[in-house]
Amino acid sequence: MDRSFLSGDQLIKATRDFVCIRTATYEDKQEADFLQWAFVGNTGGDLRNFGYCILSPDGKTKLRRSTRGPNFLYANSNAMAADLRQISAQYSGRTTTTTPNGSVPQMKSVRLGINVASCDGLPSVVVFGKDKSEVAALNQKLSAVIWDEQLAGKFIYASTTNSADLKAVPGAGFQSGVLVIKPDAFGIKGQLIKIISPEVSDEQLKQALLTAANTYTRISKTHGLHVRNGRQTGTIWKTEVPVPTRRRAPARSR
Amino acid sequence: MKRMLVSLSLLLLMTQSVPAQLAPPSGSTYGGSVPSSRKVVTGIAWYGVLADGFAEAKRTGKPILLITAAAQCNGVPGMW
Repeated sequence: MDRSFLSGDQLIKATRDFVCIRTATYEDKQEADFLQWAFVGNTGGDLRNFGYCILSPDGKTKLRRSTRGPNFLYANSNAMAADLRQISAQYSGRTTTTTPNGSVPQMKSVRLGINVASCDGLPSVVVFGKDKSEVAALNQKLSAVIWDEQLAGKFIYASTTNSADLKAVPGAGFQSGVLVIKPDAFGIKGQLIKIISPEVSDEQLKQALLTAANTYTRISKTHGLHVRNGRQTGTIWKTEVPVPTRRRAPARSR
Repeated sequence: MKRMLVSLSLLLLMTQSVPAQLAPPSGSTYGGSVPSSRKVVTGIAWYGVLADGFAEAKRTGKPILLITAAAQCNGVPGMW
């Protein structure tokens, strides 16, 4: 993940006129086919770990060519923001609804959500309920507050009805609610920070999430040290889709 | 001559080094869209599932900013 392009204030503002999707590479067999089209195309070869492109609203047309990351396409974050504004201007009159977003941008599983939250240095929010209807109701309540600019992009979300999904988070999985979790450095385990009751009002939910975000202490990591520590402790992530083995080009004979 | 130039250009393209992946951060990072912030600040709101994002794009008519990123580095989780 590019560490500077996606940080700029202008860029973050410009992304509000887009639907931003960040899939986890190698974590879903069904998504893999689409990602292959989007990032590899007809050239053959394997899906690489990172990719970036801009698509039309129906997801069928590439509005910008796909690259390994935005830094392969733009000189800096502001240049990317300018291009995003130019693209979104072409669609500004074509938006099909003014109804507020009623969805929660979730990861496909709690396990992946906690890992991604760790990668992002953000708290993980898990909606836990005894059945699908309770989870749906909680997500509906959540969706009413999380798109507020004060909360946007501050959490990584997931949902479950299965308490076993929360076994890596001591104390979680016994009580329904919106769980705020601090992932460990490797995103394998989590610490339960707060359980927000399903009974709270929208405003109370918003304030509870704001407090959680504002009091959260992000873990500083250094790339090389993190990877070295992970390898030394045997902390290895198992992907759903096998990561292709990259072959180096054979050395040319002299 | 023209053929030679084309061949030379192709050879040059083949021998140019292509980054295997994005450069990792050189210093410490707090991760995510705003890696330099010790505090949790407003960032990009990402859909983590393709189908969910596509549904929202269809609903709103907004274009899609798509990134795929492996949530592990050399097999080690917790780092893009």
